[in-house]
Amino acid sequence: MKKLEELILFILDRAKKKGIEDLSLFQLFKISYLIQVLSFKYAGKSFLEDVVFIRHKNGPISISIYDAIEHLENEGYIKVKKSKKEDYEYERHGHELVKKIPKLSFKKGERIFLDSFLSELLPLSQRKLKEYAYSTEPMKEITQQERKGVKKGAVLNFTSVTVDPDVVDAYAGKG
Amino acid sequence: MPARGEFSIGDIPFFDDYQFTDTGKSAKHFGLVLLPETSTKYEGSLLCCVITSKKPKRLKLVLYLQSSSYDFLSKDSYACFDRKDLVSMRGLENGKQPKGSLKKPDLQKAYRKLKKSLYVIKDLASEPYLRGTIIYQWKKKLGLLK
Repeated sequence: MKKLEELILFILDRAKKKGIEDLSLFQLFKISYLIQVLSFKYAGKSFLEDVVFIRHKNGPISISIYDAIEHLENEGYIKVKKSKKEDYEYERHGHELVKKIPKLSFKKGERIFLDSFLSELLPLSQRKLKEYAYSTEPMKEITQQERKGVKKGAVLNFTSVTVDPDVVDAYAGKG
Repeated sequence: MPARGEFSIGDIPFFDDYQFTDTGKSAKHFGLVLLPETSTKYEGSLLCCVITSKKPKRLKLVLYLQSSSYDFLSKDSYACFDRKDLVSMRGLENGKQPKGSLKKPDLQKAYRKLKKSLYVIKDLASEPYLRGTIIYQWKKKLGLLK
């Protein structure tokens, strides 16, 4: 199983444990993106090595997440429920975990890192998640370049993420 | 387990069975909580550093806790940041927990010692994700995040 697929299962599992039945595609995009940003900021490295996030009109998305969801659906781990509200033009796709997740390959430190940040990200509303995503360096960098509308499809640049100075000190031996 | 709120950074619970990660040995000890329970609860454990009344040889990585300031400690003690453990919550003593919490000035001192330990000591917190999580959570607790 790919690391991204494991991450999606982990997120859905923790959501379920918090009593959140399903997560929208929007939430999965933004939470996965924020985990990637926070990984650069606090571990100084990428969490999802081969995953590209691109600019979409509502913030970061990744084609790899569509692929991962399709695979997890085919494997019977998740079910996608479609629903629509009258006051919103798009259907909501709710992703629900319907099978016990397998043993994942995350190391203890990665699991603690994920649990630490998911405990903050999962309770956030979609609006708050969007605000959080837009406050990150890759999104700020791209929005600063957008004088003539949204640069849809532009690849988000994670090298713009600054590593937390205390993490840098810990590596540099400053304390 | 008794009904209680979730543990947070700086809490000081007492363990009937504080198991040391490196040796597997266990003893009765106070521990200083280094990560909120939300970070480690699915591991069934708390990240702590041991608190002991035995004066350590090296004092650079310890925080001195006077029993006059922390009345639940029967003797002056030391929180040892060079001895971090993921301690099973099954080892917690029954009854009211935590027994107390670090006072704010001590929390600030503790973070300085803890940060130093993160690069001086090679232990379970040397793992980049655990180290980053510790730094994030302490900065959040101390209001140092921008």
